[in-house]
Amino acid sequence: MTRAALAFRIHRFEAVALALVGGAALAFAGGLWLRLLAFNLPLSCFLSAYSGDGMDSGCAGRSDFGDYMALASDLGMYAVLALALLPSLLGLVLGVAVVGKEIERGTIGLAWSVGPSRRRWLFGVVVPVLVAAVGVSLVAGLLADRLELARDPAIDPATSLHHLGLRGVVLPAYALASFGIALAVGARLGRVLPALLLAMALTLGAALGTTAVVDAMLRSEAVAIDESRMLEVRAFASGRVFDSLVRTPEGELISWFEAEIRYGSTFWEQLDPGSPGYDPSTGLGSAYLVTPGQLYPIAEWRMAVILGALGLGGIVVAAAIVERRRPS
Amino acid sequence: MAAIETSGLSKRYRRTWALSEVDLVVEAGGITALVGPNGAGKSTLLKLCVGFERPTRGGLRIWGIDPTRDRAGAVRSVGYVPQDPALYRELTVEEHLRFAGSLRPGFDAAHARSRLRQLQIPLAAPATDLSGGQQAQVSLAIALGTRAPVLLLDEPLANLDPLARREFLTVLGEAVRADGVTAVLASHVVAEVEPVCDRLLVLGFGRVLLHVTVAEALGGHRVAPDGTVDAPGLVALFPDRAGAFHALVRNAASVDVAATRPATMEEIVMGYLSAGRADPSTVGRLDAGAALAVAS
Repeated sequence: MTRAALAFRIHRFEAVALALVGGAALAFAGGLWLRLLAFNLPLSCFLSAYSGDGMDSGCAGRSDFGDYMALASDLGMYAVLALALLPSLLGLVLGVAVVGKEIERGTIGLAWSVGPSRRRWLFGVVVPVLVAAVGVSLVAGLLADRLELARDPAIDPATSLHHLGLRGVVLPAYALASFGIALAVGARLGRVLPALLLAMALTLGAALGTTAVVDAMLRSEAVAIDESRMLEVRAFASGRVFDSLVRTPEGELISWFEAEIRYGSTFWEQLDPGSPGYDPSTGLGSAYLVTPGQLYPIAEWRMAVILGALGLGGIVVAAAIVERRRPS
Repeated sequence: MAAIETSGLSKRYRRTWALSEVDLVVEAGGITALVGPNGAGKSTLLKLCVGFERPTRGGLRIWGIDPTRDRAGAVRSVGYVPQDPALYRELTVEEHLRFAGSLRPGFDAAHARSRLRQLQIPLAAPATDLSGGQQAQVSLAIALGTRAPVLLLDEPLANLDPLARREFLTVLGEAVRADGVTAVLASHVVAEVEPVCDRLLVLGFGRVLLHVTVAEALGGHRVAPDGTVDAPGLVALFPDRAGAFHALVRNAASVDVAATRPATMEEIVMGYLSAGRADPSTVGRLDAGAALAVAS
């Protein structure tokens, strides 16, 4: 029996429980994906949604479009969440178990007194467990991408910032990050439940922090798109909208607050075609600050790299703790 | 080569000194009984040897290796048996041997397996389905399978019934003789370890109170049952189980042989612990040389 097989035997409870939970999540999302594909709706159904002609204008004769949308939006959201949470669950539970559980149960004394190298022991467990967690999370990430496309075939997920962080290579990166954090916390505390709770909080913080950093980068890369062109370039559908602005006749972009100061409190009526005061001759226009969806691959990899670095950092910290700490 | 050598070895946990200025040489070969009350520093000494703890002060060598500088080398020199067998509930006995083999290059699984077979311990059974005595034997077999020159046994008898204790000691004695290793056996049960031990190391109050061969200990001490003795070799007065006090004396020429009787191992340990409690500073440095110098 190999070292990897022994590692899974030792952490059999966690492995079986997570296999059941992970299997259920993948089966649910995979089943939904196949069900949505089975509708075989024409692309025109979805394209019409972004043409401004109404959701089902291109779906003449397809009475099941409503059923499709219900499945895609309601169950689809649950499936997206299940796939997005799975990697963190895998990372947290397995990460805490590798060192924290062994210290709590006292079994670490056997490994550390028999094996001359604690680092060899640690990586002998970490590598197979991490490969399994990251592998399952990669499957979840790829399935989430497929599901994204199935939920809205008019938008290519590879060029859409929608659900950034909930699909693709970010999911295995989440598994790595949560695993590294949980490994280090488990090694430090040596108790499963407190380590699990603290690692959960730190992982949540890491996720929020990473999202904030990536969002800040995306904001700095945003461009202004006139409101009239938003549907044309599908900026609403695939981009990240950060702000709504007013374009002055001189072409300057200013906030709505500043525009109110310059042009009076009712200036917005001149911009609204439905308003009695609508006057296109003023030269005023509205625009959106949007990061184009084409930046998705870059944003996705940025997020994955930050989370991956956090995870690897956690593993390095855990290795340092294991080298120095007592077995109890 | 000395199996264990310490110099001014001290270990502090917060405000408590578990070991204080311990100078000690345990020669290679045989079994040394490491006895002393709770908190005497027995476990601390063994954990320092296997690299589980770091000294606060002083030096330590295990089979010539300083664990603080080369922990891997020290672990390679040691087979360690903890008080509670640290076995995995998910693994069978056989899987434990494979696990040890995967961690330690040169682990002799066949050697460990043959010892367990002799004891009729089922290799296919989950380790935690075994009795406490059998689990202790599995721990010992793993330690012997390391083929390390030094075995450190941290009170492995503490949770065993008398039969299991006797069996464990028999196996340990046979293994030490057959494999030619050095064993240090920490224990509370002085009388039971006496038949298998070659040396006696009494640790108390963080200090070495006595370190002699068992023969020297038994031949070098006598007890005055009435607790009164004028001889200069008085070690200490100590209570027996009924509460009556006796005097432990070193077997000096001036001792009245008629008024005394040979001391048992337990009485010797009790005497030195009482002496250590009364005045740790003066007794703390007693070693084989000092004790026997008075005795002769």
